[in-house]
Amino acid sequence: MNPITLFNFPYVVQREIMDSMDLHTIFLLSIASKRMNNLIVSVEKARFTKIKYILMNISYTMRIEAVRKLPSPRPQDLVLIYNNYLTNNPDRVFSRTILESIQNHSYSLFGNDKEYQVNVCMYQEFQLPNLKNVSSSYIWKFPTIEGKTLDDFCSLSPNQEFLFVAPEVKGQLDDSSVIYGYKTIQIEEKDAMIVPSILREFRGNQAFLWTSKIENSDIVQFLKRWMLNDGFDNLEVLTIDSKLNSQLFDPNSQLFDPTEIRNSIGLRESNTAITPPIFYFKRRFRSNREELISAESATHFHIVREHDQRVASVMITQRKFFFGVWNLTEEDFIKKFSEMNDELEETKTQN
Amino acid sequence: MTSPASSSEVKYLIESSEGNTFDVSGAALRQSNTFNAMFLNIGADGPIPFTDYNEATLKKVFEYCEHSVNEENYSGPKHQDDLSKWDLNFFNEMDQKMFIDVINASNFLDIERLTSYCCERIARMLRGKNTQEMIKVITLPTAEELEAKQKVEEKKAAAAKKVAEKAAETAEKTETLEELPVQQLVQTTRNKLTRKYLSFSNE
Repeated sequence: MNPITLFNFPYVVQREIMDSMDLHTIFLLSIASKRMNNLIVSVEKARFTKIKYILMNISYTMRIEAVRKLPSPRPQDLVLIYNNYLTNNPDRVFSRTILESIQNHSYSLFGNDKEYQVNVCMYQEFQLPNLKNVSSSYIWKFPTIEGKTLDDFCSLSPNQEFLFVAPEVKGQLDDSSVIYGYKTIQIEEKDAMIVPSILREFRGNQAFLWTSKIENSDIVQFLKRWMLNDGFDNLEVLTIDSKLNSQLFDPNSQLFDPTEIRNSIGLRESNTAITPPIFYFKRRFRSNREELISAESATHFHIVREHDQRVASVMITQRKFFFGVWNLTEEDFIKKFSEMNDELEETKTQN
Repeated sequence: MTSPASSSEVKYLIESSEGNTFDVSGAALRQSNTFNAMFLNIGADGPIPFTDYNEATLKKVFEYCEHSVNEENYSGPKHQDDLSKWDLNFFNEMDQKMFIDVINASNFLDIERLTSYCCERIARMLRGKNTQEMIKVITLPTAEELEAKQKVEEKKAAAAKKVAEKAAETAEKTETLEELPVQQLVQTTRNKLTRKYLSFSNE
């Protein structure tokens, strides 16, 4: 059979043929030549506009999906590349280059304004690819990931909305790291090198941190700076949890000294006879921004920011620190929870 | 020229590039949107010239249309997996040249279902293949072809623009002509009233 000259067909026919192809085929065809790529771009523009973001799932297999703005009537159309060349492949290290090449080509095909979301679950030998336009990353790299590696990866996408890194970040982040400005971060570390710097530099909305060691003074300093309005303008929630090595697990070990912190900062305590105010919030836990989980924390302790009288709930136990900023002044805060308690008491009495 | 085949069915004569004519039922022809737009309302006085396509191609296209006459109304493309045995035979018995000619003729005649099936058939030829294998199925355009194609597209666009402008101009003229008697009437009435008023004033 002679090859079919696709190009000789009228525009309408070319478009009909391309429309009948799944995205996987289109993508592979676009690699054939620059001219074929241009032809595809001109014919399939409307289809590419419907792509919301490109999702890269990288583990033992690699799956790249073009996620549409609306649910696709043809699920197979979502899969851009599905391959298992990472599995049992001695050239696994090349996967980094492959991913970068795919993104470079995607730019010329879909346009350079598409968002990318990256999910990585890999062992040490895998090197994070240099990807741009990443809006959220979920990175699980065994056994550890260097702070510098993370900085290098993130520096190409300075406006990420979400970053998850586990099970352990080693070393430090750069002073000018873009991570401090990310909207939501979730980072696990053990060396007490990263969490203190986040407590100093974070400019985002939500930070969920795990560490095995942190100084009480770091917490005190953070709280004092917030009260003085020295940074943290966008901060809504910040938590620090104890991360302990299971082999060294000691039920009596403590990450914080609650009494020392309370005394140093002069936390205000609401009426302990009444139910403590509960701070509710929604947090992102995956790269998909639609997936949120509800969380809450109840505490009698709070601090007040001097310049606008805004309240932040503060809960400190030996293993957990919680900080949540209310959209209320102290006066409104006290009034609101007194009224709520009064209503609660009234209901109890009636019953 | 039309020839009545039965009391309920009208047949049309089609002329191919060779100058040969053959007849096609009105029901089959009505699957062509091009036909519907050009001839359905005004009728055809003599054979309908589809002289860009040879007889074999046109007969093949209308064979498909005749077969589909009794099928339900077309509602978007069906996948090749849904094709009937007849459909499959229809496609399989064509050689590549005929297949390409059928696509082009079907596209010109704007027979949605046939065009769609043909295009999906080409898409399926590429499915599951890697890039190198795809290149064996389809030829990549050369720079010259691209340039020539672009020139043709530009020419077509310019021609279409010209036609649209002419159509707009004609419409405008028609509108003016239609309005003229009314304007004249208004003017005449106004003149009469003015004369009447003047005559009253003089009195």
